[in-house]
Amino acid sequence: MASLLKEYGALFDRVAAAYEANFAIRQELTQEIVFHVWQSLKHFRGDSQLKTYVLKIAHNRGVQHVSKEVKRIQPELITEDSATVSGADYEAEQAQQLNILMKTIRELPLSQRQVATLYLEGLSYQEIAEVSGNTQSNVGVMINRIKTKLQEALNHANT
Amino acid sequence: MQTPDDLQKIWQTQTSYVPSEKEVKALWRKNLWNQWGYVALDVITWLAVIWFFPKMVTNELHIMQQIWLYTFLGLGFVYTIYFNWLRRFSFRFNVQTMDYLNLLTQQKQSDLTIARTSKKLIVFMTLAFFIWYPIFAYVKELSMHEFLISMLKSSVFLAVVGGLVYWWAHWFQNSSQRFLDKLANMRDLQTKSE
Repeated sequence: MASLLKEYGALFDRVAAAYEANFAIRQELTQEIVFHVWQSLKHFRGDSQLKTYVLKIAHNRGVQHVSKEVKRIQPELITEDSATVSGADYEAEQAQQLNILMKTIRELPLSQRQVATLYLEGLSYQEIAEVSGNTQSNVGVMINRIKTKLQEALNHANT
Repeated sequence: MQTPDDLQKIWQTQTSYVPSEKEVKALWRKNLWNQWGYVALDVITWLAVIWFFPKMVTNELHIMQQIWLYTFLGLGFVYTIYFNWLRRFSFRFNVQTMDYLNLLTQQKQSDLTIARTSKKLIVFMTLAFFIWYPIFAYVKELSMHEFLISMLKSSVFLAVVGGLVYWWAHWFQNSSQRFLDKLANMRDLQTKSE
């Protein structure tokens, strides 16, 4: 468990961020992802990389989270991505860009959202194809569309 | 113009929350308690059946009551087998997202069937009781006063227990239907984007 958290804890939270904007609910989703990945490790046969395997489980939990009803916090209490934008660690511009990126990703259809997250995590086309169950050529086409959308959103915000 | 590398850099600037081992283990314990709760419920139900069974076979109960209880027991048995058959999807494990979506859909469709069947069963048992009880009272030659008092007690019991089960089944049906609708919507978006 400790090594899982150390190795992939931050990665799971970034995956959760693609499925949930509210920071408090996102924390719960991250905990659920870690729990389910931990429980699913017994099914891991070693026929793929551990990273791609845990990412599949993490995304499936994200999908389930989007489908199921989650307790909703009153709008005035929502602190959207508060941990990512409120700290003094980031320049205001960087924080704004990150917010636009996150917002655009969350508006993508499910399959594109998954591919976008995996691409942004730096996975190769082959790895993305393995996680998402698409062909490599399909992944290539999707990534080009996603990049265009994300870049357009960022450029639009800058103008 | 942003380059792809810039997109990845922006994404990686997120401050991530990493849950503690304690938090995840607390979730695991909660999950475990829930599972044990279901097991306890099953055990209590069967203990009640085991406790009641000798009463039925030693003819302490009237033949009409035995018929009712055997019917109830038989239906309960068939119901348990059927529901566990419906729950078979819960034991499957799928990793690919599209397969996982299919599995979730199958699970939720089973949940919907369980909820609908439970509601029908409650209505059926209530109707069956109100048909059976007057016949039982007639065969046992109960006085009108005895009949009305025992009927009233049974009706209150049925209204409380049956009402609770019906309310649960209705809530379960609605929440499963909403989940299925969202899944259908996501699958539609998934297909359109490909």
